[in-house]
Amino acid sequence: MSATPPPASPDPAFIRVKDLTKTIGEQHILRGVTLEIARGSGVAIIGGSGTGKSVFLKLVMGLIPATAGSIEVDGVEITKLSERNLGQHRRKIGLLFQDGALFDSLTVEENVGFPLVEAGMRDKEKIRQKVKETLEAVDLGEHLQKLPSSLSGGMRKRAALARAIITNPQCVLYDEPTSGLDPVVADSIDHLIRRTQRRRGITSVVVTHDMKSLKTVADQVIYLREGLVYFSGTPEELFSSKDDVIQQFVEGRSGESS
Amino acid sequence: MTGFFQMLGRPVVELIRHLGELAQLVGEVALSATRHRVRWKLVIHHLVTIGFGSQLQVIVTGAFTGAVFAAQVYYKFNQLGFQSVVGGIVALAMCRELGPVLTGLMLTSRVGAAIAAEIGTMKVTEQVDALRALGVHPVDYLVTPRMIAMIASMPILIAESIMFGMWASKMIVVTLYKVPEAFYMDQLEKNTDLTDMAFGVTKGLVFGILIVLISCHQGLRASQGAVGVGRGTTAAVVISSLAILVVNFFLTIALNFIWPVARV
Repeated sequence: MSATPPPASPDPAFIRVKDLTKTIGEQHILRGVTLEIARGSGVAIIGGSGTGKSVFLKLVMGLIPATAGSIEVDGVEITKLSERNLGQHRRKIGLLFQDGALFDSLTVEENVGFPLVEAGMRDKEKIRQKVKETLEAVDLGEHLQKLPSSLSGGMRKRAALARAIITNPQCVLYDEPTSGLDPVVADSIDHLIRRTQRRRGITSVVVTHDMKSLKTVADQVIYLREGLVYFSGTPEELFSSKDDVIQQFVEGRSGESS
Repeated sequence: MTGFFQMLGRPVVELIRHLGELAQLVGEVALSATRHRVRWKLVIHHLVTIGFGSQLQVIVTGAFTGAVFAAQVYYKFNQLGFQSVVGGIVALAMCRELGPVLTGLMLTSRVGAAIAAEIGTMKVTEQVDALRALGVHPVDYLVTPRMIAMIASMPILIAESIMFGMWASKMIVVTLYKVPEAFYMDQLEKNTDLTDMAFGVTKGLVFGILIVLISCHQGLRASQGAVGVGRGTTAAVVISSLAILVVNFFLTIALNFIWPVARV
């Protein structure tokens, strides 16, 4: 009698990208990015405007096609999947859009409960309970019946975060979660991201320009420059780097001020 | 010379690309409606906005078109002493042409513009991407429910438009111009039957499908913010209106083989 083989240990990398290239028109956004993002880690992607950070998130989500290269998410190569097959893959990942992208015509409760309804949950009471719990986790428990248009920027991002995490995805991608927010709200969003990552063991990938944010949310920092990975390391390594380009970016110096 | 051919070729290439995308959308909708979960709650919502919400427009369009056409035909036919045939002519015109075409054009401006603007806004504010990110195919959520609602609403709306047109025609000819009702009805029954109604309803159904397809397509390809949404909405109305008029010609030819005009 043969013993049942132990289950294979999951791939330590949740996202594995190799030679990823993205060209839009004449513009080369990504020129061969290769990187790995470990399961359960908090990764920040930084870089100047137009260096392909948001494009990278959309590529990982399968929202736009790659020009060349491979993207493996949770062991599945996604660049060859059709739009319908990508649906299954996308349910493993939550995406927080820069402006929230809440559905205008639905209330906060309906927006946050939307992924549950789409996943086939029919018990209205259970959905309501889960929505309430998730909204409370993002400090937005009292705004269930409001429409997105009546929420502030910070509240919209919290509601969008609740929608992104309600189905307990394995990974959440954040596209500039603190842009346009005041420092206090931005700080609370950063802590919320970190809390969500630690409590739920979710892999977090945060695109940000905010150096303060980065210290809170990231174990690893990836710096994209001219469509390539220029630096990959811990936040401490980034801040102590002697590289002039990195120093200039971290300190927010334009070439003129030096 | 090359520039001339480029100038000539670009619209042709654009038209072919456009038709290809529309054909692809037709395939997606068919697949979505037959193989995937239909969101009936959304279908009911769109039935209310498309079907119920268009009542006033359709009734007013049908009634006043019938009335105006009856008055014009009466003035001419009265000179020839054929005033009793006005009912039959108006009914035939309302059933076969005016009812479906004018209702189609009115729905293009009301429903088509609204669909293109709503989906276009969702597209430029990343709400369509949010749907996709949540594992929902945009065609399943945005196009198929609207298509089913339009297919269910259009026959009723066309029939209403025709009926009100015929009623208004009778009001004008019998009540205002004092043509005896018995003569009017006799000519109406001799010149029209249910196949004329089927003719109009079939046309209306095709127009409804065109409106939803073209408007959803324009919404889904919107880009560049508010300007793009405006451009897409305008394109949806213009293309749908032109498509209705062009397709109407071919439908008239084709449907006349199936349901020829009744012989008197």
